[in-house]
Amino acid sequence: MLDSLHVLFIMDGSGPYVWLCFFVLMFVISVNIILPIIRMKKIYKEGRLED
Amino acid sequence: MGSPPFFYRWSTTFSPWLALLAVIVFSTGLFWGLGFAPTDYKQGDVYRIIYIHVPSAILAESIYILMAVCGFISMVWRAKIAGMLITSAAPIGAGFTFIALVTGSIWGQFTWGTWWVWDARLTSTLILFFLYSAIIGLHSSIENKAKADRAVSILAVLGVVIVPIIKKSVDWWQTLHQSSTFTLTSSPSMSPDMYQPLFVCVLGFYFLFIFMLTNSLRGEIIFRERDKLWVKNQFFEQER
Repeated sequence: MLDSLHVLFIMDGSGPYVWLCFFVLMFVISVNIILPIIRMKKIYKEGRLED
Repeated sequence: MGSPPFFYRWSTTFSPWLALLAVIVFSTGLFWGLGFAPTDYKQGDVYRIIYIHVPSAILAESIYILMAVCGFISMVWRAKIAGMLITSAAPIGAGFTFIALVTGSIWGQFTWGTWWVWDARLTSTLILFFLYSAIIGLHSSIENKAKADRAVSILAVLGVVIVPIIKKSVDWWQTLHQSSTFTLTSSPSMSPDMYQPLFVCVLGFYFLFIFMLTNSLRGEIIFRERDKLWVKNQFFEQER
């Protein structure tokens, strides 16, 4: 199990390239999901304050 | 569907299911492609970047086409939601174009020995990224949202000319970039073991995009309609 995980991470030397791409993907997706949620929370807080 | 309150109500029910579907298909595609697809005999394992790069590039172009269609609808029928959709889709499209550029650059460093070349495909994709950035910048610089919608609609419609240029760049000019992986007229040049996970990845990226767009559009609707009675009744009561 650990051996196959090691193979998956290292990928015969290509691992750093592939996983860097994966982290860029996850970062951009997370930003695009989290920012609208933060915006909604902000609007909610401001709306509550106005009331 | 074109009415913001209707879309908001409908997406409240639909959004969690869409998120679940997106997570399942997206993770299956990536897990299959990065962990189980066979190694390429020429490039080795670095070719697995294809499972991130190709779906991102396909989405970068598709999102722009969607924005151009919405721009046309917004200009002709003045549908409020079409303008909101352009504003919500632009940052997502810019994100996927950025991913396509960065992953392509990393892949290029490994296979071509350079991070960047002023190749027709790469340059036209960079122009697409600038177009997305221009739409985001233009919209946020105009205070009146109706005017901002009209301005970005025109830019989205005019800018769509870049999409066929990106698509055909590898045929029209001598480029380092390989020809298209997927075409509508011919079967893929890859082995089925490799393109099946790629197909699942593309599908997963589309579901993820629809979820992200719904999420972002809900925020845009609430922001623009925050003084309306239906928002006060629904959003503030529901969140309480």
